[in-house]
Amino acid sequence: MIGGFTKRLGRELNDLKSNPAVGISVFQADDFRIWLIDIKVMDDNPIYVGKKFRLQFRFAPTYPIEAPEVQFVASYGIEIPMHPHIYSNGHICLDVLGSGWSPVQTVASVSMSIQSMLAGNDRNERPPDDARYVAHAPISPKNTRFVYHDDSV
Amino acid sequence: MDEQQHNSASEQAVSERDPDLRALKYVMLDDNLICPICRCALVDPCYTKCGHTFCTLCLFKALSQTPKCPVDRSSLSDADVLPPPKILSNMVNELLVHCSNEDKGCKRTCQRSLLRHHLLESCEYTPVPCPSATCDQFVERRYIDSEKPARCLHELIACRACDVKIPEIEIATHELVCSQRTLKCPDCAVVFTMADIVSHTSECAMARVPCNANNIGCKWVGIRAKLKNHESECTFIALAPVIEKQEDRIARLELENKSLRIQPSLTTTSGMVDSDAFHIFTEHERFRSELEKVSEQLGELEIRHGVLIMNQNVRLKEEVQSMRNAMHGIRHQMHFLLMEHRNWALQNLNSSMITSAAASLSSQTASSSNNAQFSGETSSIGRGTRRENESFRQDVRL
Repeated sequence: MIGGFTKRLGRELNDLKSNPAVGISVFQADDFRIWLIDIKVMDDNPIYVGKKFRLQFRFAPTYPIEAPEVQFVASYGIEIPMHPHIYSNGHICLDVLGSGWSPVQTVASVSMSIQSMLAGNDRNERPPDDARYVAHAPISPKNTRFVYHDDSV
Repeated sequence: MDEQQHNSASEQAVSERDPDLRALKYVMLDDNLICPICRCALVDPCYTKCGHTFCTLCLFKALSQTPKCPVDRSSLSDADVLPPPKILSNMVNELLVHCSNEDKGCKRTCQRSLLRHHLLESCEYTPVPCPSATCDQFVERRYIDSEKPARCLHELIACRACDVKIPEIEIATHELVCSQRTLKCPDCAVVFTMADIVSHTSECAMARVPCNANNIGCKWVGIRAKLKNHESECTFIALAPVIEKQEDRIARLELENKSLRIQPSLTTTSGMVDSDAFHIFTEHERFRSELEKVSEQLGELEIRHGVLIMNQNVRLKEEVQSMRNAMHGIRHQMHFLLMEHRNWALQNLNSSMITSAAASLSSQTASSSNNAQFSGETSSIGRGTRRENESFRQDVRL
């Protein structure tokens, strides 16, 4: 399995391109370190309707045994989505990206989890501790010990 | 980065003995035989107590991170990992794969479990140690000739063109691309190097080239120097833009035609439109034939009507004539009668004058006034008949 993560990512990329899920498209995947995936919320949730968001996946050679670093990134015309579990710096509080990670998950399945997390949200707000978190947040969201206390959203 | 390079180097060393089964291209692969962790065909599969299958290596790596089944997250220890059913190992071992030297040119496909043997024993493209005892490099098996005595194929030989020393085994491929190799242009016999010959052949004045309009029918072939001359008088060249435009248009129309042809058969509603159109068309046809019939009948009717009117006219004219004749007769008779009457009156008057010859002068004036009154009466009758006559004539003229 030495170097196996590039093979698996290669396969995932082929899959994403040849047989993409609705609302999920590869924006950039030039190497096996950082991918940018664009997602759209497909139902008519008024908070996200007509908007596009960009997820950044950062892979380590330990992928897929360990989770990739996943966060939202802002770009020209693309903002960080409003959600009570998404901080304004793009970090996402979602258990499958941390302790809930399993190696059978893929970029596509994570993107779909986040897509459905957005689709099921009806609160147009940031997490309550957003300002404090953003001021002290580590660069990688994986270094944050999120407490998954709220399963309502 | 360094570590990665080291890793790939060691990987290559391994692959010389054991092919990397995850990098292979499978002829056909069932989704059920794919490891959910590495997303490749299962290699050395294992089986968990919760019923999931993984590559053994993948599963133990995952378990070292979290002691849970990667699929259903039930807790799992090393002891819960079982050897797979025989049938599963057989299935993955008998998967057909392309030889891992496919990119070098090996066309072989074989069962996965036999690939190692193929690579070690028979694949022509497997690197094997150089036959020379002193050389420690590798050479692909196809270069080794077992008939000839063993010799090193890595001895450096100078390229005849560029003087660079190249191992013997690579000299043939090098010579094909060596930029210093000289070549004679087949057309103008000037000698060029490989680097220049490509640009030269595209502009060699002595090269035989076809007319630029050969795709639309010009048969002219000649040396490039005369091409300009030919093109200035070639009819095909003059026609080319027109033909091109036409072809463009035809292509566009064909496309449109195709899309139009597809459209009606796409949905049932358009099928209805189709039948509607057919209905309207037949209706139209029916109306047209009816109109033709009607106009024909109208023409016939007109002719018949005309004949009828003419006949009637003739009859009426005849009648009018006869009536006019009758009227003349009547007028003559009336005239005659009037004359008779006047004569009779005059005679009467004369006789009364004779009988009353002895009448006095005073009564004479009275009788003359009576006479005048009578003549006025006759003239008024004559005028009346003439007026009647005139009005009748007017009727006929109408």
